Amino acid sequence: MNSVNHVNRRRLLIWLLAVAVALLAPMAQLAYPARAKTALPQKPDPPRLMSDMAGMLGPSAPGEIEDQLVSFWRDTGVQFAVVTVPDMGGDAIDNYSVRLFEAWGIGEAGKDNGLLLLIAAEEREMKFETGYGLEGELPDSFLGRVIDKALVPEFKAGDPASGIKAAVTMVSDRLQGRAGEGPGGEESSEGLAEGLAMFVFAVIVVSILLFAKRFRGPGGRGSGGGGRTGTWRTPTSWPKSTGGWGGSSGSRSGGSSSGGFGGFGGGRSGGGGAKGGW
Amino acid sequence: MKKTGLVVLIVLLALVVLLASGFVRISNSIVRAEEDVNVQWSEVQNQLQRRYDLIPNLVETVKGYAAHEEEVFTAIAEARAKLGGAKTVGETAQAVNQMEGALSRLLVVIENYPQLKADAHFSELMYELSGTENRIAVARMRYNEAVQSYNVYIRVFPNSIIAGMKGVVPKQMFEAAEGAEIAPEVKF
Repeated sequence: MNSVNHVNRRRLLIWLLAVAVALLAPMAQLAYPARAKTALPQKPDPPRLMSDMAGMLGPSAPGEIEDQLVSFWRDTGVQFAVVTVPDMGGDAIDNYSVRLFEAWGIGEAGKDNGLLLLIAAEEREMKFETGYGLEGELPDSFLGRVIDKALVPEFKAGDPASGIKAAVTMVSDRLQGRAGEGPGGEESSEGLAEGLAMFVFAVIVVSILLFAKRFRGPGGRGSGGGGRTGTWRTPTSWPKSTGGWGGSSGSRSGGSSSGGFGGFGGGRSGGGGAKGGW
Repeated sequence: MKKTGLVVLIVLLALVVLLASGFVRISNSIVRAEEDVNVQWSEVQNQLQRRYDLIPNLVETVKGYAAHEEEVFTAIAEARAKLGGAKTVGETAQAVNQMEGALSRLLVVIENYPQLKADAHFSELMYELSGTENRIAVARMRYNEAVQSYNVYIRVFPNSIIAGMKGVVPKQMFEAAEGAEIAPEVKF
């Protein structure tokens, strides 16, 4: 018996080491190097579509543009964010707009129906950044025309607010086909499914090993047979009571029924759009 | 003594399960990271294809105003053919660099033709081209980030053990520099 115990203890040690390794593994993810970046403005809270951070649109225009953008959003589900910044901290506008789009998550996840109009006051530059889901309906050449026709002339004339309003009108006219879609979407729960699979796997492994031990020799035969059968039976009935794990968990970015914009939903862009200066 | 044996057995079983779950988690993460690299690469190819399709249009339009700039048109056609035949990340990167050189020469040529710059069709094409250039830059950056994450993930301990068992190898970065040697950035 003594030698058996000795073997067991050595095995135990090996297993403990292996488990420690397995448990430490997630820390490896922390080792990813982060890229150096200039700071981005915080996402507006409470959520807003129009953010005049450069303060270049006067006192009343931002509210009017916000109303225009919110009703466009209610109508089509498209999250059209207009953001003015005082400066971009030395970053290029192409890069800055992609990063801002990604950081704020403009548009709904999966649909990627976001559009960003970024205006940098000091650099006197502007850029449309198109979400993946809008690239078909809003080609770069169209957005270029919006910049040339609606934005640049008014910016040059010193009335940026009118230019932005005209641009929003041009874009919403173009997206009339989406009217009635409204906000909302589905999300999957991949993490839960994986957790469940893991659990079922663990139960099966434990059960098989317990049974194997039972029939192998006299070692564990005598005591607690009934109790072990119990632990085997319980899990088989368990998934039934929690049916529907893999399904969708409904909409998240639906927004409230009253008031303003419901919030950005994690949309992505790929650098498409058009830019200009004044 | 029988009871001790049972306790040891149960502890061992718990440890087996923990170890197996750790193994599965790392293994799944490697698959996910690899798939992410593949997705980003197909996005790079998508955007390269977009530019590839755009170029004949652009060249035709420019030819309408600057027919005798044969040298530039030939350089673009050559680079385009090379890009069409590229298979690996390295070949693609080389062809793309050649294409970008030829395109920037074209843009210099365009500067000499004010009538061309006033052409409405041409200005639409230029918006499409510059949007596409930017998409390529973004796709390339995201691909390189995905490759870097993947290469780091499969090389750190203990993931490297599982990566070795699965036989996965580091992926190649998309290098932007002209004529640069194509090699993974993370070194052993």
